[in-house]
Amino acid sequence: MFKKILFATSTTNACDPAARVAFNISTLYKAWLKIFHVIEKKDPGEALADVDEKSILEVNEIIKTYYAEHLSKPGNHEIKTILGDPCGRILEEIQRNKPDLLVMGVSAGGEKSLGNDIETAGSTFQTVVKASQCPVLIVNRAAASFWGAISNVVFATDFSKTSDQAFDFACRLAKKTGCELHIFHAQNTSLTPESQVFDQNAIEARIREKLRFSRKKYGSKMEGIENYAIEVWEGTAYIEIVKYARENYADLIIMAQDSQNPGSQTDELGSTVKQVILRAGCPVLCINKPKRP
Amino acid sequence: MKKILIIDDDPVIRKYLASLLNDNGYATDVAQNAREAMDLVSAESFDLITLDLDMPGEWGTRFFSKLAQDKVKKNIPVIVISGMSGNEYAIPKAVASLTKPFDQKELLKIVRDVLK
Repeated sequence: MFKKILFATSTTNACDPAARVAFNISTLYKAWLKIFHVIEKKDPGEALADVDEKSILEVNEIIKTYYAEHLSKPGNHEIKTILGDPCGRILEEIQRNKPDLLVMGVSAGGEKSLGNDIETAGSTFQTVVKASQCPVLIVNRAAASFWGAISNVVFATDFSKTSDQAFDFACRLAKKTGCELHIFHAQNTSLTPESQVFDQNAIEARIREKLRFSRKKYGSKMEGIENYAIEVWEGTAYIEIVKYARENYADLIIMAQDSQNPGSQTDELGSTVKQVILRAGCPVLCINKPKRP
Repeated sequence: MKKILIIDDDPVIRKYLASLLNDNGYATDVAQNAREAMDLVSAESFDLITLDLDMPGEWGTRFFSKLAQDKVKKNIPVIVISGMSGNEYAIPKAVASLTKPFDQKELLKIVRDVLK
């Protein structure tokens, strides 16, 4: 399933949970792992030549020391350090080497940044998740890093076209790993955050309708997947997804990321995806809509 | 006599925990991985489990999630004993989490409190 993994790291403790998961997946799937570090250019005018080969080698040594415990275990690892804008460099690396998976942490703010302020929640992961053409596995909380295997996966759907891509990925993963697949949708209890909550009969009617829809949409495509569940709960989407994953001991949440402006460094990641990433007790895998030819 | 299952892939830790708990009046059984532990839990009854996290094969977290899905066994209290950083976040429903190397007095106090 995963042959080439790219682990983008700031080599700080904010990326430690992601490191644990990246090395663990690489060991489990005997995958080649590239540890990718970008030395950020503080000054836009700073020339690439300012950091010479010797400095890069020194940084590589620091990374080797930082991840010594992980690197001491058997596996195919490579360390690459370059200079530039982290988002751009990570995306270039994805385009060039086409990894099966990008693993990264949330480099700033971490668990404390649960609000909507893009600056405190780490802008690199948001930009990369929006624009990446390979699946992005985000590990934010330490709680999400105790990851032994893929045996219980929650696919959270909003029934969008991009969700179909994420569903295909979830199915492939379930067939390859034999994991249990939970197809989950959270039904909003009001049309907008400001509007009144529907009465319970209306909510339950919507749940039944969405459950029927979900069974029709996904049920027929579950051939070859022995263990699966289709669930619809009512409530605020990100809370219900995190809750459902926790209560079902999920190892992974798969979601679609459908950005209108994938290259934008100022537009925020979809709020549900972002909140799930920041709060989930397991890694979150984001799938982007395919690039237009 | 209260019976405790020790799950750890490190034989030194298993032996140390078994001696410590036996010396303090508890019966023990040991498992070196999650699968062996699940077989033991299915066959016998335990009052408490000490659980390592990073083990070959399935991690301790997977063992716990399987245990939690068993209507009867899910009530067995679990103490996480692991060398992994941040292990207090690994299993929110564990009764306690200790980091190796741990203080034996602290462990015994937790065990006594849980099995009171």
